[in-house]
Amino acid sequence: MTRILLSALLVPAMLLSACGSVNTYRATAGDEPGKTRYQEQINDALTSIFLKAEAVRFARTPGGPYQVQVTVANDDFRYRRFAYQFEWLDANGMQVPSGSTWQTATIASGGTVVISSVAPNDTCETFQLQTRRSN
Amino acid sequence: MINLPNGLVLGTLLLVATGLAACKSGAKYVETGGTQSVVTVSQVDIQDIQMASSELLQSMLQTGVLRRSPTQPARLLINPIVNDTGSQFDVGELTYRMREQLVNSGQAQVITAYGKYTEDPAALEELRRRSFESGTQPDVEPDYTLSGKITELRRSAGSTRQATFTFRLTLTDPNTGLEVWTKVADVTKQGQKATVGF
Repeated sequence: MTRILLSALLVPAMLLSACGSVNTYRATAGDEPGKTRYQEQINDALTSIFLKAEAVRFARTPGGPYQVQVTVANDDFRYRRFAYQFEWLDANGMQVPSGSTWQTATIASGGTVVISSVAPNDTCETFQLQTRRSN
Repeated sequence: MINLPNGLVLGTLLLVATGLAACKSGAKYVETGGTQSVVTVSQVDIQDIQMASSELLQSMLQTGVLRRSPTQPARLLINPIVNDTGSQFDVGELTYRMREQLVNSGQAQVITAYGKYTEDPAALEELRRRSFESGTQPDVEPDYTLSGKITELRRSAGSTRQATFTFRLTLTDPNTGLEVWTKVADVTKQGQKATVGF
């Protein structure tokens, strides 16, 4: 009976984790003293899906709007696939339509990938990154 | 052997059933292009269009090409985008998503009444009437023209199929005929059959 009970608890737990939960991170340009701070906090959103941020860059583009780039590394022994979405907020914290959507990225074992996003206009200085495990 | 109360066992089984029902159910609303969307291998899905338009739009904003336009906001004339794939869909789904961001953020204006590229015949008719009455030519000339093509490349290995859809857009300066911006966005999908979620 105990085994049945344990199995009954384990199966739904596995199924629910397969449905996927989303990790969210938010940062504003100029609010934080350096790149390290971004990296540490983005790592919080990535470690739960067995990935890590190797570098985070946040700068204005030649066109004017901010661009954020995150180098994501896979230290695991197998391919990792994840979905992510960047969103941009204005000075009042209101979300600005940016046409952003969920994207996917695959990283080989030991490899890295750069995910990035450009703000929809010059006034957006805060971005929000959502990550979700896909495999 | 541990004796467990029947209530606990029943409660656990109920939890299992609820958990399963949460993952698998009948028709429901989902986020358009979200991670619970249907993913097909050989067709262009809504999330493919969203991904491509987002990538193309961000490239355009990043380079600042619209900021260098002689008039602000830049005036765009959009050619019909060629769909050279086996997937039937309205290519306006791609350009309208980009237009929405560019026009509503004040970075571009799309000319919708212009010769054979007119999207709004009533506006063109009215423009011609006013032009005739005032005896002047309409002063709406594009700063850039947008053209593009969507192509696909299919391959298979055994029962696994793969399709790459390539979305390419180009901005041309009509004063010189030279390309001022171009971007290619690839979307590659692989699998044996359509599935839900990615």
